[in-house]
Formats: sequence, structure tokens, C-alpha cells
Amino acid sequence: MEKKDNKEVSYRFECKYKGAGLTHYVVQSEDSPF
Amino acid sequence: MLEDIALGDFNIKIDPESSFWATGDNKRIEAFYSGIREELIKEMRDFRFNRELILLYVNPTDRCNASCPYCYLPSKIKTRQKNMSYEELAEIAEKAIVYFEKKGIKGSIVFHGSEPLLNKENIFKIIEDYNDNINFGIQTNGFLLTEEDVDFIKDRAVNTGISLDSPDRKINDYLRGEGHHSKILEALDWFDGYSALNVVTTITGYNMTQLADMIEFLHSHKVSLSLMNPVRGTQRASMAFRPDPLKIAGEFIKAVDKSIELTKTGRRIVIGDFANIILGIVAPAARVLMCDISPCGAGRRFFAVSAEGSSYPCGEFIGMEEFSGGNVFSDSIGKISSSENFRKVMERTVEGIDECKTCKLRNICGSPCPAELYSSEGSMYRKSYYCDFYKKVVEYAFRMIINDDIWYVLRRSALIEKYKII
Repeated sequence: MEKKDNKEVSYRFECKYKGAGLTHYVVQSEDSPF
Repeated sequence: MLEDIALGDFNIKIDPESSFWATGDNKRIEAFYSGIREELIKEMRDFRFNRELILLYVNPTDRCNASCPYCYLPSKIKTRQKNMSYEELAEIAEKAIVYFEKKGIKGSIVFHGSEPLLNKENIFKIIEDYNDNINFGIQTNGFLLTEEDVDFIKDRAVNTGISLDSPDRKINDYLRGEGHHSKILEALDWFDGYSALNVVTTITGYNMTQLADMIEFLHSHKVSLSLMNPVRGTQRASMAFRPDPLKIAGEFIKAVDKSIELTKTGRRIVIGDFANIILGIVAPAARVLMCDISPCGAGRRFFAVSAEGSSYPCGEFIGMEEFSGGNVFSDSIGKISSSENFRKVMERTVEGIDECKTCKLRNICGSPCPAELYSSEGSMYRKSYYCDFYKKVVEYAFRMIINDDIWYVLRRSALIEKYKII
């Protein structure tokens, strides 16, 4: 398979939201990244 | 330093310690990374080992009105039939408010289960009395919800999760109890697109082929956030419900595709568990769910309280007394959160797991869940049962990231860019 590794991509974000959710409970708020 | 990893048709360079990743020319990427490596390693270390408690999961009752066959709570707990009184709940709320205020934050209490609405009168009165000083949430199976309750929840902005395992009534009711499906349909109409509602689907061998249909169903009922998590084998009975990890990866990805297809039509629906994996790659310290990281959130971001007041690092540990950090009625929150038994979990890292310590994805998945592994394997220091599931889903997530398609899943307004090469 042709490897798609020529395109240069890297990125990173930060966020004010502090998570305390579980895979089965999530706290939603205005500043949540999802 | 940077290691190579082949994911499907992509070559990625990754430093598992900092979670930096990149595609492209080796020399250029290494030169770029050398300038930010220390900062990113510090960010990851601060995030992984920070012990800022911000939430308590409180079970206001041991009782449950359902008998889901894969429940993670031991039957010895549910048969105790203990209900917290208003005074007991108020004592916890006041302790929590004082603790969080001293830390300079507005913390949260989430009423979790068993089934919290079996103690509805008391928890609603607590919400009414303390809502100004602490955030509240409820996780419920929904059986006892009335239209009045939903109005109350919406008026007080209570963050709410309800459970639904299948769009198919027969399958859902087999797993969740007779009449559950029609009750949830009714409740979704009452919630009518309420933004702080999410619907939780526990993935088992019974519903794994219906995940994409479930997303379509939820979207048609104005739900914008779905959680889809593979069942934990914390109890012996639940182990029999664990699906094949590779098979569910394919079904889960179909559901992600469906959620993006529907989001493109103009109204969002996001699968939180997938969004969290994307965050684990592009914003590792911004994870919303604290299971897919090591140490996980148990004990350090939150802890759980049973109806008798016993505290555990997470609800998954309820009933395992060797992990109890004390009793919330007799011990301070600070004492509980720094207890020796909580530290057992707070110090559990993937680097201590032989099968994980050289895995390049180790700080994206975190090898969950320590309670499940302790219960099923006799040690928290084992590879996750769902390792192959994570590998496939992470590969898919990288594909989306490299194509810059993450904004169908994440909210741009909540994220601040640290750096970008594209």
C-alpha cells in the first residue's frame, strides 16, 4: 500500500475545560471541546 | 524521542511520552519537535499526575429498578436497599462545597447509580437548595422520569445522561427491562433537544451491529451527544457480554461515519468516546472523559460514594473494599482523596504494564479500565481487554486528523491552538 507520509501535518490544542467524565458519563458545558 | 508507527496507509512519527505526532519529512519534523519537546512533555506530565479533584459521583441509593445483566455494581451492594436521607445528602453537598471553594473552583456532584431517581424527592430537593454553589448532574436509566422532572432538570440546567442500548425495542428491553424503550422515547420528546443531555449506549454482543442505526435514531430525536462504550467485565456476569474487540471497532467506526454524515446535514451529533480519542491525540490535556489515560481520573479528578457513604476511586470499584478510601460521613474529602487505597489507583501507569510500556499509543489509550482488569485478571497491571479496539479506532482517528476533518467532532471555539504545521 502506498504510504501517505509526504504531507507534513502536526497540530496540538489546549483547552480551559477540565474533564472528569467517564466513558459512560459526560459533563457538558459551554467550554467543553465536544 | 520520535518513533515511527505505521497506521493503515499512514506513517506517523510519535513521541509517546509527550504525545507529539507528525507526518512528513523526518529531518524537518525532528528539528521542529526539538524546540517544543520539553514543553510538551511537561504538559503531559502535569496533566497525567495532577490530582485536582473536581467532581464526586454520589449514589443516593443502592436500589435499582432495572436488572441490566452487565451491571458493574455487585449484587451485594444493590440488595442492601440503602437510601440516603436528605440530611445525609446535604452533609455531602456542604462538605463538597467547602472543599471546592477552598480550591477556588465550583465543583460538581453527579447522582449516579444504581438508579438515583429511586431517591428522587431527596435529590431534587438537594439540587433546589444547593444549585447556586455546586453543579449537579444525574445519570439515570430513565424509567421514573416524568415530564415535570424533565422541566425541573432543564430549568436548573442539570447535566443529564440517560441510557438506551438499542433503537430496536426488543433488544433494548431485553438488556434494559420491559417498557424501557418506549419510556425513553417519551423522555426524549420531553427533553426536546436539551443541550445538556446525553444518551449512553453500552456496547455488547447484542447491540454492536446497531450502533450506526442508534446514531440515526438519536439524531432524529434531537440528541446531540451520544456515549458508546464497550461493556466492562468488572463483574463475572458482564464478562459474558463483552464483544469481540476487533468486530466492535468496525461497528463503532460505522457509527462515527454516520454521526459525521448527519452532522454535515446541519445538526450535530457527536460520539463522545470517539471525540475523546481525537482529543487524546490533538489536545491530550483537554480530555473530557478520564478513562483513556493513565493514571485514569479515578481518585484524582473524581471519586465515587456509595449510598452508605463509602468512597471508592470510581464507581467501577464499588464493593472492592481494598480500594475504599474511607467514609464520606466520617472522613474529610481531603483525607479520602489522599488515602493509601486511592493512591493504588492514582499511581497506576501504563509504563508499569509489561505489555503496554513500549506501545507507541500507550498515552492515547491508557489501558482501561483498572477496576475491570483487577476484577477479571487479578491485577490492574494488565493490557486492556479492548486493546485491539483502541488500535483500530486510533488509526481511524489519525486518518481524520491528518485530513483535518476533526471539526465535525470537536468544537473549535473551545480549543486554543498551540502549534500547527499543515
